[in-house]
Amino acid sequence: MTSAHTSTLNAAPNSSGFSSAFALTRRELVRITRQPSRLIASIATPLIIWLLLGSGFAESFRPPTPTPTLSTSLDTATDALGYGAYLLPGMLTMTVLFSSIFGAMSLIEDRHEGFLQSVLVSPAPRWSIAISKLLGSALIATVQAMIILPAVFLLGNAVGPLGLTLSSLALFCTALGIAGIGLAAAWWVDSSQGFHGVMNLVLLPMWLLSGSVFPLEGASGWMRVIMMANPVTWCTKALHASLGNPATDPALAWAVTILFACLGIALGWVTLGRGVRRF
Amino acid sequence: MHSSPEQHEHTAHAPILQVENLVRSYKGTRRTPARRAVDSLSLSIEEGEWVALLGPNGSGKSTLVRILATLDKPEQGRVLTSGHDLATKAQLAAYRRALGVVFQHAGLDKLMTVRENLAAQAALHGIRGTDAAHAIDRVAAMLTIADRLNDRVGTLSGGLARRCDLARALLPQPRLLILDEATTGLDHDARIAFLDQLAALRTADQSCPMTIIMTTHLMDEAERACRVLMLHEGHLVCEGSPQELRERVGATSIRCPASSTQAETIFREAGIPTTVRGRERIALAGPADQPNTIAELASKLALAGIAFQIAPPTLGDAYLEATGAALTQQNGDSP
Repeated sequence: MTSAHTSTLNAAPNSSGFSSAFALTRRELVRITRQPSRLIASIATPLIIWLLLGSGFAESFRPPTPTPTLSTSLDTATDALGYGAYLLPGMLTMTVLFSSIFGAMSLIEDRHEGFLQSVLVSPAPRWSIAISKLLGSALIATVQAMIILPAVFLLGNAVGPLGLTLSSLALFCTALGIAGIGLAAAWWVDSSQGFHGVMNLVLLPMWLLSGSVFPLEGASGWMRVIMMANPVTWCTKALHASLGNPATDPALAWAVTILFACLGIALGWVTLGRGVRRF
Repeated sequence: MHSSPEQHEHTAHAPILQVENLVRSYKGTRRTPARRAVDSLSLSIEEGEWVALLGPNGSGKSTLVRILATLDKPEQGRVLTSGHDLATKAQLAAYRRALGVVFQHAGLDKLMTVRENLAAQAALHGIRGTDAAHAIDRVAAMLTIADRLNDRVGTLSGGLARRCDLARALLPQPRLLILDEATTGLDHDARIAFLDQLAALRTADQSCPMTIIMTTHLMDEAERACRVLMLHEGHLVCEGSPQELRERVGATSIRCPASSTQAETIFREAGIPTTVRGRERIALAGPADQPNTIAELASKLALAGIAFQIAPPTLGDAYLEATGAALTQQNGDSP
């Protein structure tokens, strides 16, 4: 009876989750092209930091010799690795971290400006809203990092198409994970300023302790434990491995990276899909 | 599952929207106490009606609208649409397909063009391809925004952005349109133009007029409705057509400056209670007091050199009489 009745309530067609997700993802992509300052800043910042840190620490950086228990795939290239080459994957990680978190932050803007409400009262399934936010944020972050990626050729790395594809995949997975965490935080934090504060508190240490600036193998004690527990460490390792840099435990790194992406999707899904108070 | 003839009979005549014993509370904070925004509220809205929810800030209008717009859910009570509880997933989806909502803040992306915004809205309602293009052209023509479709929303004036937002809400041809303080931020002329357009759109299809629920604290907006529901502290205090509500007051209002203590004394001596609303002191002289009392009061006020105004009752007076509280003084609050 319900279906018979509901069809009389409105003759409008059923909303397809995929077309809703596509339209909302497209919106995220259109928005970034209309904000050139955001695009430029997200690419220029890691490039400048790479230049400054890479130049500053170039002489003092010595890639550590890994302990025998961790050493599974290191080769003689370790010694030849300069700090600029070591730092580049970390900069790519930084780009996706901050870009995807800013993408997630747009949820707060959408809520304040009323756009989110207009989407929530539509018949579009909730999962399509979550997926579009995750996909939009992750795609933008990955593309921004991929603009920096050709810098590997300047460093003389011989990275083939497979390496570039795997790097993009690692970046995309990292972006999905971070976007999911960002969406969950943005759902509960009411202001952009508050979100900035929370993200600086969490994201900056997360990046610094991810093996982006200094290797896990060189850390000791408590810092090493934290770094190993940090999923971004393994994402960065997967990136190192894809770009041909020496990296320990690449299989584990990839497993954690993919798991991190799944966690991000689940977080975004639960937050936007189930977090909405409704009948 | 087939429905019985009784059930068909029931749904055929059921109101498009029915609210039964709705309760919604907000937890207190260190600074604000816990409060019931909507308290045991019941109401019924018939298909094709234009209903105004009238009340000052904090009367529960926005909370009720959030529930009716499916953005929030009540702690107790239920919402029925055409006799069916919205608690079922299928009914909720059907309700959302039949629903258009205009919020206080336009639900448009300022970085996108009007056309892009409308296309996104069409996709959310499952309207695709040429159907979407036709739907956009239709609402653009209706709201005379066809020449602004390629402009970014951020570049539009407040009134025009409001019209575009209304176009967004009307795109899926809703049977029920909810407007939550939708004229906020508009100047007087833009507000009147918006309401005129809304009135014309409502009756565009004579065979099936759109049902409109509009929250407002402005009397001139509420005057446009078929029926006014007055809310006070989360309760529905009275309802009726604007004319019925004014007639129910059955009084003449006498207004003079609130600062005049002499006026207060004159009213007190005449045994007529007064209320201060903004800079005005308002006395409602009921039918029993008229016309001698009013003439007497007028002469006393004139002799005391106090400026005063005698006017027929307004919806604000009706609200005042029903609740003892005043609607907020606003630009639309004049008789």
